Amino acid sequence: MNRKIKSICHAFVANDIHTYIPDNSQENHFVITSLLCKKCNTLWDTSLVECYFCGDLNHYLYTCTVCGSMYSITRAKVRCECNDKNSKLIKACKNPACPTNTDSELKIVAEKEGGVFDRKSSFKLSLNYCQSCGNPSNFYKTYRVFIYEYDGKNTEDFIKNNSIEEDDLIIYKKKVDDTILYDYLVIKTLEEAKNYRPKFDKSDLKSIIDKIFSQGQ
Amino acid sequence: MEPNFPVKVFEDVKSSDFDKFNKKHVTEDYVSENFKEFGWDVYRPFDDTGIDLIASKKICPKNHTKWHENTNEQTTCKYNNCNEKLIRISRFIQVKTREVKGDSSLQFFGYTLKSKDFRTDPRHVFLLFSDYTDHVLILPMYEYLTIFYDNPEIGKTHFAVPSFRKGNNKLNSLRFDNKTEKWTWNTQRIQITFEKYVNQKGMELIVNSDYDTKLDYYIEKITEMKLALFHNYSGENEVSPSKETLLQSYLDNQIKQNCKSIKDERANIKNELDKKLPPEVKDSIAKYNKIK
Repeated sequence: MNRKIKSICHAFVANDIHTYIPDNSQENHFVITSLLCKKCNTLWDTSLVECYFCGDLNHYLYTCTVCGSMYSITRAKVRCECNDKNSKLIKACKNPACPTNTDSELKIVAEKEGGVFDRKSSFKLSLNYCQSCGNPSNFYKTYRVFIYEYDGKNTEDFIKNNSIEEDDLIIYKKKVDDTILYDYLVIKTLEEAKNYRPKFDKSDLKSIIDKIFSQGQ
Repeated sequence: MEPNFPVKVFEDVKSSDFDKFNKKHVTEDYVSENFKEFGWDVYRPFDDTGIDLIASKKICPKNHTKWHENTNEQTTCKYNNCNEKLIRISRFIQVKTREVKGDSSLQFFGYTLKSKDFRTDPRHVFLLFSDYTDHVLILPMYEYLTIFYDNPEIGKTHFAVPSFRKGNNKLNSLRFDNKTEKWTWNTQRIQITFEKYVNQKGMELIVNSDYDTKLDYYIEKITEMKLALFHNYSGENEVSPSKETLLQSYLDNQIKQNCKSIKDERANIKNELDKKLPPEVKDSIAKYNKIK
């Protein structure tokens, strides 16, 4: 794989965008994709977990079962400072109204499993409700990406030479001294795209990523 | 005549020559080569993701394109006088490869799916590859969930049990009958045929453009089925049956109904925690919080 394409792929990965490369000798493009909330386009991170009963998110805390003190899960010491002999630090759900905190029977089971958010717990699920707006639906947003190392020629030839289609993404790239400048174009219609002249008003890919993944499906 | 799928793309080696430790790469490659054989563009992950490959193809939005038709040089549909502009579809494929096991004539294909594998996009596809029998079962998300939603008894054993929430619910009910060469979901009380997902029949399902042209409709349907299946509670051993009923009604009221309340609840809890936690603990947990 061409090193320049590889470099851009890594830049997408660094911004939490999944990148896929063609399984053939084609070296002119790759695919980016991200799972997004259907309603607000926030990135949908399937590694986040939520409480099965109340839907609250993992706050990455240890809670003492005796005194309720809270500690970060990065804490090396695994005992609570209350030093009570019955104390146990668990990854409890922090919603006071959650049945795992209000129901005595369930509370015992949850404690036994190390708390709702323990790795082995049966009281958690991967994110079902968007972390930003609470919506339960997600979808894949995806683009084929073509990198145009700008040579001053018009976009029409680049489109023709690379078999670019509607909904594809062109990233324009130009080096000025030691700085790399970028611009982008999501192809709505090939006719409209032909005459596009890049402005090179972006100095990183992040702003492009934020724009293209915040525009809905 | 319609071709068969899959075809033997690697002439020097059989899938069954690999063991469970080295078969992942070869089977994904086998699947990928098979898609390519029939004119699909295939993309493999550059980084580590849950999707093993993306298969993409230009098809007629009126469903005239066959799964094996190579449309690379076309821009419009050639079927009769259709002339409809082709659309590019993508299928996000998760591959599970297993050897069928069991001594009897009815062997089983054991696999595990976790809650994070269930996205609400209909273009997400589970591809179950039985390497010893050389069958692929191709199940788009909508089709997969519909089976279990329409058959609550098996829906419960798949999604409602504690082991599913733990992420280790191994499913052993997908069976292959050596005599009839048919695939079924087979429990003591229920037998559901899986034949419509096998090989080229499964390929017909994923070339369906409705998943693209009616994307919003399918997302809504999948979301509805997913939430219903996930929140059909079956308790831990220590939870009494009467408590299960109570908890089910809690789930029905709190979770299924109102996503706005979840958002508000989460915000309230976070605010309360922010007031209570010492700054160093807040700093420490902030790095885990991926909200962007």
